Amino acid sequence: MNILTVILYSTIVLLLLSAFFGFFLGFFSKVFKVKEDPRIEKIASILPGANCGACGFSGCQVFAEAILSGKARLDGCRAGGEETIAHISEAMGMSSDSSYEKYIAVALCHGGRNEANTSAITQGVSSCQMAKNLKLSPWVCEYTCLGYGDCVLACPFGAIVINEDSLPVIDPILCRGCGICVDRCPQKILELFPNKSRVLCFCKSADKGSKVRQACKVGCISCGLCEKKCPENAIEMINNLPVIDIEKCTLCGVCISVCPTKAITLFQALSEKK
Amino acid sequence: MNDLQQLGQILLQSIFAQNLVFIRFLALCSFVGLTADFNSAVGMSWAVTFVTVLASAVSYVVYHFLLVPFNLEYLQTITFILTIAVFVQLVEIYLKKAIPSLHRMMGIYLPLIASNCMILAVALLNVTEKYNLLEATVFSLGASIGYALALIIMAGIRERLRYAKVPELMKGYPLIFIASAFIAIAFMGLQGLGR
Repeated sequence: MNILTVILYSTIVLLLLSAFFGFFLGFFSKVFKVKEDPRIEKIASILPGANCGACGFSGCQVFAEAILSGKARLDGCRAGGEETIAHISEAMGMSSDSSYEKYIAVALCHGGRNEANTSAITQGVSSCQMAKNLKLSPWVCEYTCLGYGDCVLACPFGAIVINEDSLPVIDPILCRGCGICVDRCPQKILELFPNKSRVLCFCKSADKGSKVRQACKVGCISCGLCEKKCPENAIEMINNLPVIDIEKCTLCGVCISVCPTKAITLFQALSEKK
Repeated sequence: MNDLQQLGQILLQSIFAQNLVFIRFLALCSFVGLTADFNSAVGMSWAVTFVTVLASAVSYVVYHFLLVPFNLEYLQTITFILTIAVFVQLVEIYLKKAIPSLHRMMGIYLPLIASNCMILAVALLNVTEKYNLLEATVFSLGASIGYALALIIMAGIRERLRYAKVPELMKGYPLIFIASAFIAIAFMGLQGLGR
């Protein structure tokens, strides 16, 4: 058999085979066509399509199906915000009585390059998880933000950037409060808070005061001044960190002014910033 | 009787002595990826068994009645891939219409199966071992039972590992690979079965 017939035969056989399979599949997909609810498609197109999973389902398509089968609430999509919920309610022909509340991720560490001390220079470390697992952190503080930007890569909405101070900066408008970065951060620096002004301690160090002082200029040194000075008794020191009772706090700002390291700061809600 | 004995031999061999996951080291991707939770391991095992048995029979027919007459045996790999991909798609379309509950259970695994090297390996091994149609079917059944066994053992181990205290460095995949190496050594002890 010469080479041309070999090529010809193999081409023809493969062509025939794939043509046969193609027709076969096309025929079968016509015969076994399943009618899907057109509303699934409609709702899926309203959803942000980021498949962030904040709703508790594995993706936007699955969430759309869950809405139609009544397994999910209409206001289940936290990432989409009020607008999406209104559109979904309209598509489903229901009034929206949503209890929607915008959440924003906050990085609870202010110890950047200028404020925190380093003990080593690390090379070849490309992610926070890697630095955490191999204990290759350049920082003195054990609880600090590592600054390699796992949260930046994790964010489906591109809301996080690492600034020149090697701290994550979260755009409160772009952040949809899905909480993926919160899960991804190996240091548990990021937390979700409702979009309301509140007093926060921007330090997660459970170390004693002297140790924190050696590591960082803006860490909580657990002096307890805020606890003593708070007129509402809303602050309690637990694990060398102030825990602020949001029910009692009146945002008077006494703790912010007495804090010697400025670890306690006001977190401003989005609407009040504008 | 002799035939029956040989079929039994092929079945035992393919489940234990020639276990595709632990002895031949095939289909490791789905073995590692789908054993995190017991239910998905069982679902994947069912889907693989279903597709492997049918796809190996179909590819047997394609090989012996299409490739051999035209002296095109060297095209076996590409035709088998084509056959398996088409078959998986067909199964998905059919299940979606006919048995939606089964589709919901297996549906997410079916696209994974299309690229599962175990099914291609079974089809290719059927050719190299020169099995006839019955033997090929028994071999593919045994191979997929062996795959299911591997997945279920690993899923059980991983469920227990979740509550074990593991050094940070070994958490996740390193430990899974070490555990599967131990199981593979244990399976090597079963080499004599079905000889």
